[in-house]
Amino acid sequence: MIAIIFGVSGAGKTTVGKLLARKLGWRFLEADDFHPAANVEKMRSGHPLTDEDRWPWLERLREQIKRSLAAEENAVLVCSALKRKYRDCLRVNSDVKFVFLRGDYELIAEQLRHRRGHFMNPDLLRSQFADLEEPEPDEGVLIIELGRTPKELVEEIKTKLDAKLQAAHCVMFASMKAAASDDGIVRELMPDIDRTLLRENLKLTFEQRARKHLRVLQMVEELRRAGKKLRQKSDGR
Amino acid sequence: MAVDLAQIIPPLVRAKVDFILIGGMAAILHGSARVTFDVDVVYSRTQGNIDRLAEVLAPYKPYLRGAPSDLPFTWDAKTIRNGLDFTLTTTLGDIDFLGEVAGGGMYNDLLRHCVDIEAFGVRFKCLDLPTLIRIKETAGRRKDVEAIAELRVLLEEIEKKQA
Repeated sequence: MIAIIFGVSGAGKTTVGKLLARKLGWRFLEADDFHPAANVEKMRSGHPLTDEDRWPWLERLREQIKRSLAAEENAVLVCSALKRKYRDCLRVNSDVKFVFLRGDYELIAEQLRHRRGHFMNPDLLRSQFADLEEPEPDEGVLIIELGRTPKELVEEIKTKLDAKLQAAHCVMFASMKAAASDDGIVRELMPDIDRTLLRENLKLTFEQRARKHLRVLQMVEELRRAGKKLRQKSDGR
Repeated sequence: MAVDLAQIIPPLVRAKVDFILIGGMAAILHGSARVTFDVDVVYSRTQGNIDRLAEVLAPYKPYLRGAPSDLPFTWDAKTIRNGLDFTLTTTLGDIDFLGEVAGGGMYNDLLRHCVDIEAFGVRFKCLDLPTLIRIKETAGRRKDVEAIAELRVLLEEIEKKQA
């Protein structure tokens, strides 16, 4: 699983993300480390990034997520992911879970004022809030309200992620159980399948197969129309 | 309305929409003898692709299948971005556009399980037969049991033919 902690700059993504990764024993990934040098320089000089700047960065992140998932490596990734389209880009599959650190402007500005050693200019916070598209219900994002200690936030995230993991395992277990019982039925049905029809189809091109199917559909429609007419006739009697 | 792949696929390809044909119609192209009434497609969720999909399908009056006719539904890039899976009725027939498929993932996950098909004057991607079977098995729907049996027999026949 990849847990993506997102929110505006100053929300505490890195602190929370590192703590969470340590607690879960997962790899920690910092999205800022994937920025091309030009983007870092632009942010340092106080200029907000444009979408054009962000796409190559998001692509790099997406590739990293795919690599981690392919290697069955769990990781916590911290990333601003302010807009829905950025999150959609990173949502490689259902093994990617998003965690949104939510706080209002005053709270984040206060946190940011106490921060050192970060290249984000605090003046950019306003533009971050302007860009922020809060997650919509269909995104399935875990929403964590700020205003508590990082340790408390991590506890809540861990509990909620565990619940999601457990639910996913239940679904997987149920479908495996169903699949195992269905497999026996499938094997029983296989000898009854008319292989001659399939062999005839395999002699055709892809296009011929599609056209043959269309003719069958048209015939089904014709039969349906005839049936309807017959019913109307008998109803009228 | 009998759905005709020859009417649906070429406009999508010409508009450069990234999609993969899956489901019953994909099975038909592989040689299945079962009848299916709609087209299932997995589409790429990139910004550009969503824009292209919104534009190319709009003339065919897409509407949510089975939804009340007074439901405010607009087929545009914003709607696609805000949703994921769309079961549509169009003037070309019933088409399902899926952002993700259980047991298969999203467009990019499925790409390595595709075959290129040349038909209707265009080339497009279709899910391969072993993956079609796997997805149906993962879905675990009782109604698919007979279809899975047929697809497994079909796979045996293809392998026999190739041998």
